[in-house]
Amino acid sequence: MSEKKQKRSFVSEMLYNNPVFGLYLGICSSLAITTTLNNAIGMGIAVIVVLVLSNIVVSLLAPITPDEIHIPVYIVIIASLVTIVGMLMQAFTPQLFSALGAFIDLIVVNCIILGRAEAYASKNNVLDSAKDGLMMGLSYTFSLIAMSFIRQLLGTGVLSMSNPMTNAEIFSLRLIPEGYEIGIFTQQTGAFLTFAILAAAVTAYKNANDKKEVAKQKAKEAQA
Amino acid sequence: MKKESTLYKVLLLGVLCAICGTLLAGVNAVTAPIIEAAAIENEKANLELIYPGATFKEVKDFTDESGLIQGVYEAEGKGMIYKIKNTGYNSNGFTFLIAFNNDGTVGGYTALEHGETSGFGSRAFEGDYVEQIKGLTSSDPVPLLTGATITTTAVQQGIDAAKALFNEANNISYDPNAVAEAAPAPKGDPLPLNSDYAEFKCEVEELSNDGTTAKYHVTSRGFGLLDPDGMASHSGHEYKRNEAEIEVDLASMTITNYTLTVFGDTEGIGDTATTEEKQQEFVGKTLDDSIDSVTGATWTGKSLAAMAQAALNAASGN
Amino acid sequence: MSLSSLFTIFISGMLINNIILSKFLGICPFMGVSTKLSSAVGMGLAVIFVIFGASVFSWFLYYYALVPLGLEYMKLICFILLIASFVQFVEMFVKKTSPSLYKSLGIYLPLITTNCAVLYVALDNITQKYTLVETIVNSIGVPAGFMLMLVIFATIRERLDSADVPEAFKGNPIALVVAAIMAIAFGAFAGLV
Repeated sequence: MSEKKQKRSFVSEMLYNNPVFGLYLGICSSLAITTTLNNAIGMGIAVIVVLVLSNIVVSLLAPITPDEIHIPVYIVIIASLVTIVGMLMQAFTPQLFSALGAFIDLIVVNCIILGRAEAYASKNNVLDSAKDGLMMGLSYTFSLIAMSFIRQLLGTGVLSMSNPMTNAEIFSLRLIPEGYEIGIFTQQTGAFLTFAILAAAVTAYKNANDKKEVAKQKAKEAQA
Repeated sequence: MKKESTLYKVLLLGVLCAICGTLLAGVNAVTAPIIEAAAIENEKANLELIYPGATFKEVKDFTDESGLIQGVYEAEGKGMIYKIKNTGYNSNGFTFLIAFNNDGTVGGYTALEHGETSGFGSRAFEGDYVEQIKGLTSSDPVPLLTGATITTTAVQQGIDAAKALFNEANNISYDPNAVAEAAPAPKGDPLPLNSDYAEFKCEVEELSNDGTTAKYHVTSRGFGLLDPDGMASHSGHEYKRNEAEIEVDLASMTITNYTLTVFGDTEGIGDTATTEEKQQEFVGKTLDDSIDSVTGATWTGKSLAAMAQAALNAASGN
Repeated sequence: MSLSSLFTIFISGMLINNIILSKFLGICPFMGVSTKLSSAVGMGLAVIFVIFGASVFSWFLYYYALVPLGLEYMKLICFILLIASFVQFVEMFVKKTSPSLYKSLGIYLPLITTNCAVLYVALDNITQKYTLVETIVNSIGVPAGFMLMLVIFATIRERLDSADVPEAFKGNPIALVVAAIMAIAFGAFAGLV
């Protein structure tokens, strides 16, 4: 029986295992804070840091952690990391901190982090866990950037970014003339809609790709 | 020690918590001063309005029942500053700073942001009233300002909240229910009774005339119906004509009695011109006399004067 | 605090700042449980109980232990541990007293721990400097809104199952489109208080 799983391209892999649009983890933050690119990147970096570090620590501690207490142990690790990241953000990037608000603290219950700790980091070595954390974190960040790109562009007509530490503007492009922007994209409704469309797009891609792979497989078997 | 034993589990969790706790304490020690300094920086510009050049520290720990106190700041060696936010006449609210020096006297009173009506509620944040507040101590009651009652009541609530905190912290006893004497309504320009009041469109109806005294029922447009500056149409208040019963002595052509029967202007503002004393002022006046207007209620005052003129004109047969 | 301000907190938590439609919290489990009405009701009640209990305990923990010891920065760790323990306790309790309920809730009961809404309410009570009574009212109002959403969505999704939905939208995406429309509807509550 030949291998069903085929090697997929990097981008394809990212879409299949996308934690946000593929697995529906970490939805809360991707809906709430994706109003600007700055927020998305800031949050993405915070999650990457926490995810990579927590994966490393969990991978180190997993061998010596008995099963019954593994959840509280992971929780303490993740919560400490989140608190530290939060404190550093409040001190050095105060504007980003107040923009992200309660969602920095809520990184603790971001299903992605505990999920990866449980599913991957506890069963693999440090290097692999760190890599996995980085990949998942990047995947999450790209999803956030995709959401904010659409929401900020359509909702305010301007694409902009500023340095979170000094508040200096890095760039600001007005792509939709003033008065023609669709304000609802900065609101709750726009968030749900953008997410739904992106999720549907990923699902459509997965379905089409699955069909292609099955067809390829059948063709291979027919030839053999 | 076996991995499954309870002791091991407890130890593991305990050590982990201890390490995390220490780490957090460390990061906290490093970041907390930076965060505090940043928070003060934002407010510093405002605080310097009261105590320029002082070193400020934010007091985070305070219980404020009223919910009006937005922030408490200590100016080292000088006093305490309270940032108050409340809503007066303008529903967007206003923010001001009230400071008490360490000796209990008021150290400063400045508005940071307000949208009160110019000439009315704005008087709570400028001129005489500000000087009045600055002359108080933390145990004195806060006076209201006639003609700006709504705004100054809100200011009073805010200052009272600050007083409560300050007096409690410094063990100063005071009577929270004391009421200050309202400042007397400032006198405005005199309103001559023979001015041109045509725009008030007064209507006169003679009620009785026995040859000596004539009694008239007069109505007049007031502030709202004249609508200067279009303010009345925005306030949503229902304005009516002012109405009065005026008695005139036909021999001397003087007013012997002035009674306002319907007040159609803004309550709390225009009615400062319609007090018993103000109505009494008309008694004994002829067309050559004038009465004092009340600042903040000039139009209502003019409306009353217009009615007086209409009655006197009717009595003299004009 | 007056009765009217408590009422404001309740309505605000339940309708105006609805935890799902306005604050975007609690969506992960929301997507999973809102497919059937029976599980929606059970989950909703469980969440109300957990949020109420955990928030009140957290409030006490913060003001009577963390603040006097100057350990406010330990707030996050302590709260999440408290929530995890509380959920564990509730799980054991439900298992013993009502095995059928335990079975119907399945894996979603322990997952309440990672429900953003629980931690959010506990933290929010501190951020807003609520008194104990205000905390209690807020901690019932917010999950009541969550349960309201669960029930509404379960009924809608049961109907959606038999509707002709495009392949790519089946399941979660179409549910999110429904959420988008409901968000507009609930936006009407904005000027209520």
